Amino acid sequence: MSNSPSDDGLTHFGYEKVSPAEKTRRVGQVFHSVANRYDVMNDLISLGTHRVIKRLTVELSGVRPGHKVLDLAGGTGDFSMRFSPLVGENGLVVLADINDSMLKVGRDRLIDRGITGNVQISQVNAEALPFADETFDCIVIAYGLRNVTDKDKALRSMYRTLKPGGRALVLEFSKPVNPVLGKAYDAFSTLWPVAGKVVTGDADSYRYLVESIRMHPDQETLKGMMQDAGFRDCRYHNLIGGVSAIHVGYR
Amino acid sequence: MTTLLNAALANLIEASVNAVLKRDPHILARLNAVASGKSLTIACHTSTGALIQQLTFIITPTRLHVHSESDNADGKLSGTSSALLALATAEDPAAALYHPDIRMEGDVHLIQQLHREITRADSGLEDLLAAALTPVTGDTVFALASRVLRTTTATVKQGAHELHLGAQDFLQEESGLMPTRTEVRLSNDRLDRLRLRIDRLQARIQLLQQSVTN
Repeated sequence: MSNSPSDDGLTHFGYEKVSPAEKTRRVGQVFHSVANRYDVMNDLISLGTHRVIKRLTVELSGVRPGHKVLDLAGGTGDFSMRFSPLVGENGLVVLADINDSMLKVGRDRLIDRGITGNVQISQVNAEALPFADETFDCIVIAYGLRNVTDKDKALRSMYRTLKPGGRALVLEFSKPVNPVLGKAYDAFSTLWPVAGKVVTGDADSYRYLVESIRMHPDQETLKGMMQDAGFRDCRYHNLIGGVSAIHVGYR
Repeated sequence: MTTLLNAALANLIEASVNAVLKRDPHILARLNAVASGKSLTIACHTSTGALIQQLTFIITPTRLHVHSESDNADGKLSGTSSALLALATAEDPAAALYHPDIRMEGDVHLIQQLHREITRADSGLEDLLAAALTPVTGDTVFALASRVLRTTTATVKQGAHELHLGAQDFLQEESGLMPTRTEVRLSNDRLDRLRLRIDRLQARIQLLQQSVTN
């Protein structure tokens, strides 16, 4: 399983092998297509559990008033909404995503909820974060690393912009630890393209979602990748039997 | 799965606490005056030391955040459920904080200050609950429920007190199965004196043994 483009210069887009530029373009298309109904689909495919999973991620982040937080691949702003009241007026949350359609939805949601002042919005590439070294107390990337073309590069970039002692959290789909649960989950996920077609009118994007989850590194591999990027004291928490996992690492 | 359930429980508690605090923003303002941006973990243990539940409260000007997973709180208060309950119900709350089953770690001054503020705020809790619940239950039902609760609590307290006195009287005076507090204290004093004499005797024996061997 490649986490960076392989020797032939190709990378995975779901089960397909494509050039890095092609992957970036196609992932962009996927999120342009689903941006407006993204949250509805999240509720459907996670059966609502993503809310409590996100809450737990915020709890594990150890974010406190006054902290600077990077909500990377933050898209529709779910995490920024949670972090904003927590960091308070002396803190800062940067909602960052490579996809402008997702950011527009996120920006509108934040404004609708009156969350302004301590939230900034940036269109960034996770592989080359345009922030100074040691800027953030915490970086969270939730269900985003899977879509990054060069995951190792993104992790190194996160490490660079994290303050010493800062914490990085990677919330991502993972590998169920129980084979029976794994089979049930696989069967359930085959329904996602159908649900995607009904809700967003786009089955292909959710077909990509299913494929990208299966191609994503398992818990131990991702932990190793974080350690290789320089993070220390890396650990992970399996959620719903490993369907999702929260990896935590410190600079 | 337990971790997620705990997070869901923390979410529920956070919503309830903030609904109550919204009715009287003065309480949150007072907490912020002494501990704005600070966090306190309260951990409940069994008597054998096994963790039952842990919650971390983070005080911010807009709301009180409640987390189930936290490893960097400014202060930590842990104890058995009965000892923690006594913090809220004891007649002398300050003394309850120094219960042998209560352990304070981190910023102890913060814990003391918060405990003081919460104890002060406690007197208005029924009013706050009334304000929060009457839209749901209606005035009459809430008034009835609170009267029933108050009467029941008072009756149970009175009953427990009488049972305690009755049992004490029977065990100490009538059946003679147990000594009174004074008798125990006298007996302990005698025991202490006896221990002291034994120690002295042992020391003398050692001295004598040394002189015999020399």
